[in-house]
Amino acid sequence: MNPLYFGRAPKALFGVYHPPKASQARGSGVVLCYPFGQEYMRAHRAFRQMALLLAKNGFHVLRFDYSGTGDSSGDGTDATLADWIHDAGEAADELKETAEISRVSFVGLRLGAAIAAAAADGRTDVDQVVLWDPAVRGSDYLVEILTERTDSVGHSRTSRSDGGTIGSMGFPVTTRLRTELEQFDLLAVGPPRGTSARLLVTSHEREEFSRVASHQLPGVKLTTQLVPSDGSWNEVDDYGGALIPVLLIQAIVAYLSQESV
Amino acid sequence: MSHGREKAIKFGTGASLVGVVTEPAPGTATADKPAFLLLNSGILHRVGSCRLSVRVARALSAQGFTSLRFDYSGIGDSDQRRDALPFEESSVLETREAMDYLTKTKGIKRFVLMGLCSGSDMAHETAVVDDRVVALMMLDAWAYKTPMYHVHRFMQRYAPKLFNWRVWQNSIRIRWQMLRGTYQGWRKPDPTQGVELEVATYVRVFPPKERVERDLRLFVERGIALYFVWTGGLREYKYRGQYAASFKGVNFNGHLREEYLPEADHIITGLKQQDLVLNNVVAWANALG
Repeated sequence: MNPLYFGRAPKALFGVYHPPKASQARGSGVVLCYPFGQEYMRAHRAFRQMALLLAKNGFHVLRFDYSGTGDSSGDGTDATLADWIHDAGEAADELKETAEISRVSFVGLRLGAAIAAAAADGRTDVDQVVLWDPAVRGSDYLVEILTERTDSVGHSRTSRSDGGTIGSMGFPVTTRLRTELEQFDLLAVGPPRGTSARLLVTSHEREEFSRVASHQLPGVKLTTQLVPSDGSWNEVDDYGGALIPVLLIQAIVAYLSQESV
Repeated sequence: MSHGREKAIKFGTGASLVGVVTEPAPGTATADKPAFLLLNSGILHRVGSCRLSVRVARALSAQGFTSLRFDYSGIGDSDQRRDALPFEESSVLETREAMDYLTKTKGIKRFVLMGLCSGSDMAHETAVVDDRVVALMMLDAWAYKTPMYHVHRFMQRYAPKLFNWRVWQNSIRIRWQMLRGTYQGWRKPDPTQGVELEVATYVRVFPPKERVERDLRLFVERGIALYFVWTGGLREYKYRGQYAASFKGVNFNGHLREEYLPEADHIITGLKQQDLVLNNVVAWANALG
């Protein structure tokens, strides 16, 4: 496991590259796309576990922080959805160069799933895209993350700052980011070029997941899988409880392993 | 705000620990400045609660400070230890290894430890055993009740509710439901199949006050600067000055700065409170020299 910065300063992105277990090495890689805000904090360890399991199954893996998030450069108030989609593409290029491979897959959770799909749109080197509990309509997602919450002693966890920025449980959501999310619809995102496969894997049933499940894209073989588990990503507790849905992670790794060479 | 270069590192002997060193911004470094170690809070990884550690590291860098934020073994990106050392011991050991790393690579020999919640506990424990620590910045550190604590608690919690009919109404409803056995509030949800909820192995228990008092005397004797901030999210702290009042036997001799942010929650989700903490930490760091 190698932590590293990639990309050009001042836009350097933090990532962790997991090389494959030597005896099982495949000629393809997986880019992991985190969710946003407290969901990112809550999912961080699960992504590490998934990366370790994928590497054990022979994949080159790169998980990374979008600009203005995690350890990557930039401030949260400068972050945009367009930048994050670009970052995911840059991460895929970095992984191909580092691992000397020619094909990649993307796995994304919640907003990360939307980013993964958008980053894969039009690329010619994508094998699979895994959408895990995806954010489908940006406007619905916004409502979810900006819903008023309080802590155990009644403090609000939605805050406001100058310039119209709203704090979603401690993470800034700027006016620009809200506008981008309002306009985003996963069903409007195109497929990669050529043939590829898509997995919609969900922890629970939801109307918007059904929309994705019935949405056919040219050249894309769609698989759907429901793995009942806790999907409460959009929560926070004072001591940073992390979710690691083991069965769901195993399902994703099994899917990618079966679909890849 | 421009900051210095950031470098991802791995270090440590008992486990492979992952961290990020933030160097001073170009033209700001001076030889005498201590480095900051930014410690994990609970099981939140090294970016800190709501990314506070990243923002603090970069703001300090602009003022000429080096910092290292890293994950203890078993947290964030760091591996589990292969030995069976309990977290209370391994975290102190690993904090000292982080200091060793910066001494070896940067020649820095003086350190400021900063932590929120369990991070402040580990900062305290490390300062007791390592005299390279010259200052502590603690958020929601161990706190001890004083007689005035109870007065403030009553005023904050109960006084506004005494004349609120809705509160009385709820109280009567809950008690009635409890009598009938229909109250749902205290029941735990069923565990969900296939999910592991990862929680810190460290259980936060405030040590006996006498022990902390002894440590504080040691800190004052060694000239350690103490900057403590409590949020409204820690139930054991209710008014500014409570810490000094709970340790009347210690002559802090100007070494203690104590602040209370009643509007902030424990993980400081308020954007304005985050900015306030950030600015205050940087100002305090600059005053350290």
